[in-house]
Amino acid sequence: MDEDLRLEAWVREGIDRYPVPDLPLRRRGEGSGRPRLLALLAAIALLVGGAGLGQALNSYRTGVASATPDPALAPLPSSLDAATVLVLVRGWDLGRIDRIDAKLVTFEEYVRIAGPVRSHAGDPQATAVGGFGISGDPAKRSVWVVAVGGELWPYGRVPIFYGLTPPTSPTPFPPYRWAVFLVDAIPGEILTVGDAGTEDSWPSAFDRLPDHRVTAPVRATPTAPLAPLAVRVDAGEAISRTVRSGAASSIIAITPKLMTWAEFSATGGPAAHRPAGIADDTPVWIIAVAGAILPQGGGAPLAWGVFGVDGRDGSMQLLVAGAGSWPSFFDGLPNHSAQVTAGP
Amino acid sequence: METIDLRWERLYAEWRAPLYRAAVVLVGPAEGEEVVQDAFERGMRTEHFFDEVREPFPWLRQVVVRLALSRLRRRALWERARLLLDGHQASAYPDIAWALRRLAPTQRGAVVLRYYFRADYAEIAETLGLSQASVAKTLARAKAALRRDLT
Repeated sequence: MDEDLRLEAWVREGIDRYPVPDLPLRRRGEGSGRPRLLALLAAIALLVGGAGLGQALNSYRTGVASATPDPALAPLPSSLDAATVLVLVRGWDLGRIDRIDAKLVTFEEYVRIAGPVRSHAGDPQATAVGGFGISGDPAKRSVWVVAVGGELWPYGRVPIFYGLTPPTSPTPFPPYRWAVFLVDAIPGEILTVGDAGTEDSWPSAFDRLPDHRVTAPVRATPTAPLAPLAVRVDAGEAISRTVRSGAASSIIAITPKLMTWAEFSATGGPAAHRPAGIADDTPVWIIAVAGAILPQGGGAPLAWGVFGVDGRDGSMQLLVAGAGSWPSFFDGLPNHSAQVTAGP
Repeated sequence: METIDLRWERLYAEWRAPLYRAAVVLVGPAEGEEVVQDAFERGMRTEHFFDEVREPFPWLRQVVVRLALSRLRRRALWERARLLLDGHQASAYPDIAWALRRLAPTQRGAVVLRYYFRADYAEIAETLGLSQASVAKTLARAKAALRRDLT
């Protein structure tokens, strides 16, 4: 602990030593020069391009999406427009981008048309990363699907990361020729690499996706932070235990929340399944899974399940499973941050 | 009643120094100022900002760190080359900047948010697009690297 405090003091004092120049607040419209340069480039692109060339430039160079939203589809909320999403993805260190485009869909539409998240696709030597989670109803979660074609070098393969400082030794695998990224439309942050491949040059599933219009920008509503709970099992381990249990034969979404058993009981959820003899303040990871859940008593798989993983010893059990797309009570549950102590 | 412009001027006067210092250790002095100005400009362009954002400083520091990391990631190759050139030689910057520059962009952001701004794990996770468990791991790795430079 002393060492931590010393480190914190070193960082704070080191940063606070920086002199701050006396500069005024830049007013709106003054700009830094870059927007004017971009506007000039855009004007040149418009001048040199006919309709076909203009579209190609849009899609391939200037970062403006060539996909056209379908006016017949209901608009979806997003804090970003298509052009901004492309600029965001171009900002990551992906490699050489020959073509890029974006569509706005719900997470449910993406999974139904493109299949589950397969971030290691095309690389048989990679290890599967398991399910990928989002919170809330997949049919209501809007995501930007960004398809990229070119020569793409991931940071690592298990799982794949882009945009970080590459490892000191090069990856032994060939580059991907295309990749699909999912960007959470409300906060405007990357969710995951949806898919990637070394065959073909473009993800064919992207062309089959619908494209919704954007409603008025929506601001994410932050929730008040809750006090952290001390656990010996972190979120990754809790998810891993749930996946490895085999209780779900397929997973399209998996999301953990940390709370006490008392908080879980207080929400009016399926508290009857709480194990007997467990203290109210015992931390528990409540894991919601959408996919195919195998009922403990046998029978047809159910569409979602909620599991409890003890935050102290990692013991896991299926609490409840049901039909429909998502356990709606899960969205109302609290979520503490975890203070991870020694492992189980 | 205070005008919107005056409120921004007052915010700028109050919070520019810590935001500028954080931006400088993340991206260097040349771009640090631009990052801070861009963050304020983004706020000023947001309609009803003061109605929707009750605490502007956490909002501003989140935007500053995100903008800085975005720039860092774009120039990752240049950073690596510069590190090779710098080696372990003394830097013209204070030691903290030299030590932070040796970290991956996400680690830098996590360290500045946690140790300089004293942000909690939830805010760090939201800012960096990580889970809270990943934040703990990122910070642990960053601390291990910084400890090597401290000793």
